[in-house]
Amino acid sequence: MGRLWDRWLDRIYAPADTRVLALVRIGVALCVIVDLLRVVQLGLVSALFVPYEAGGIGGVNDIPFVLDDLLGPTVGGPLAMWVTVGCMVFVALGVGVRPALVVGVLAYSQLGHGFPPGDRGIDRILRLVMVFLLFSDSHRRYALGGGERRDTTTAWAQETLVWMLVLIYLSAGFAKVAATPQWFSLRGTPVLYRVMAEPLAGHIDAVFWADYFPLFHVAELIAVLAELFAFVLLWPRARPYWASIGIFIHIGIALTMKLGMFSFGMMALYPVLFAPWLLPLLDRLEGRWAELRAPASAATD
Amino acid sequence: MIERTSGQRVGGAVMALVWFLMLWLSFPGLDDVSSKYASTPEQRDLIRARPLGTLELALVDFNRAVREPTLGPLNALEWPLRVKLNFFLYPNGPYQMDVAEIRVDGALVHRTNDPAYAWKAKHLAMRRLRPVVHSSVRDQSPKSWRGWVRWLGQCAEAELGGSSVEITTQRGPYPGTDLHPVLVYRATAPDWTASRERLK
Repeated sequence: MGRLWDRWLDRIYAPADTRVLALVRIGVALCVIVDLLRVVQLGLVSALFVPYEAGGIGGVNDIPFVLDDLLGPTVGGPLAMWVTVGCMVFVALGVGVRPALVVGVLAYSQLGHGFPPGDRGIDRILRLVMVFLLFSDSHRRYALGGGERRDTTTAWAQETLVWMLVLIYLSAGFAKVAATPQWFSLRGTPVLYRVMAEPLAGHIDAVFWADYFPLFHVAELIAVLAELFAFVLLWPRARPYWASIGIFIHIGIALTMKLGMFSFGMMALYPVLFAPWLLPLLDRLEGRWAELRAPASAATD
Repeated sequence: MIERTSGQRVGGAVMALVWFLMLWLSFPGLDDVSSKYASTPEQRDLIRARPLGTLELALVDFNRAVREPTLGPLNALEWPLRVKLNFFLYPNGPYQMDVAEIRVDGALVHRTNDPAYAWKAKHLAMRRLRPVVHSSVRDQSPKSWRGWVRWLGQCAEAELGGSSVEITTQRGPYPGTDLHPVLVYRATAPDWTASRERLK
């Protein structure tokens, strides 16, 4: 037990490169910004974030939607949206990250309480990630805030994000297997075809792709096996290899389905999986950037 | 071996608790088990006869007796920030396909996934609105259909000068060449109060 405990402490207090968390911070914030600005672009702010009684669409909201009571039904939701966007801009830029995360998560959750149908799994996942980032050193790199720079931090936040990804993918895998054994079948109508060709959720043409069932059978087998084997992410060396499959799954979902920021939100977490491959790349990029800036600095001197 | 400070040991215990809570709340494989699953002797006999059926029953019983009673208070902690840890995302595709046709003053303006009739297609596909469209078209206990139909009516009036809107939902087997009407939603100007009729 003592050895296990020591190994646990070694794991969460291992030195970790702060840039990984900084990239997650920026990616997550950008996803939320783009998602909410898309709502603005489509002119859906009042429709989505104002309750039915005040002219919106949502026929039900949660009791913790307090902004509705405090500010009125036509102000609470839209204000929560703009506060969320503003806070995410600060988070992405690395300015006042911790206060922006606190206010941003509260406002973002109010959006969910105000219009529960539009608050999906990815919103819950990203809010939870933001809670972890709040306590981490993600703001110590790639930040314009002018705070103390730290190149390394302890690994607890990175490892916790990996643990969350393990639970997410394992849950998704088990849920698929429990829903139908057809995910493992190489005959009949592939489940993945039904998922992707569903007119309300997918982009692909059901009639055209009905001739390519073997392709779907292979893809669904890869997807469900990847999810069921997500526990390999607990071994740091396996992470980038597993993530290479995972990223293809998410790109496939992004191209074929109407799930908005789901794939991008998940991929925003992938720096924690790709860290062993990503960090040497970042070193090279930063080296090149420093070389480019050096002559300019010398000229001004 | 590295000597740890007492602060680090406390931090380690807190993180261990966090990891345990994340596992407990989202427990892969148990997080979407229905309360009716394995609840009758006949169902239990069928499950027991399957490979690893005894293990499955033990896990379901553990979930029901030990895990589920603790979820209420723990979910209350998740609720304010809506960070509920259920991750059984999109486990299965539907066995029937559903599409919607929208008519404004009798003229077809929208058909799901049909580029020739794409009025409001981008809006209806937007991930925050799509769940309302999904539940209304597939008739899965929709709670926001009145607001959705009213919004479509108001858009029809503003953009197309329409005075009535009718949404017909159709259902059929894949690949969707043989669909039959299931539901019709209607609303008329000026108040756009929505009604719903189930078609035989």
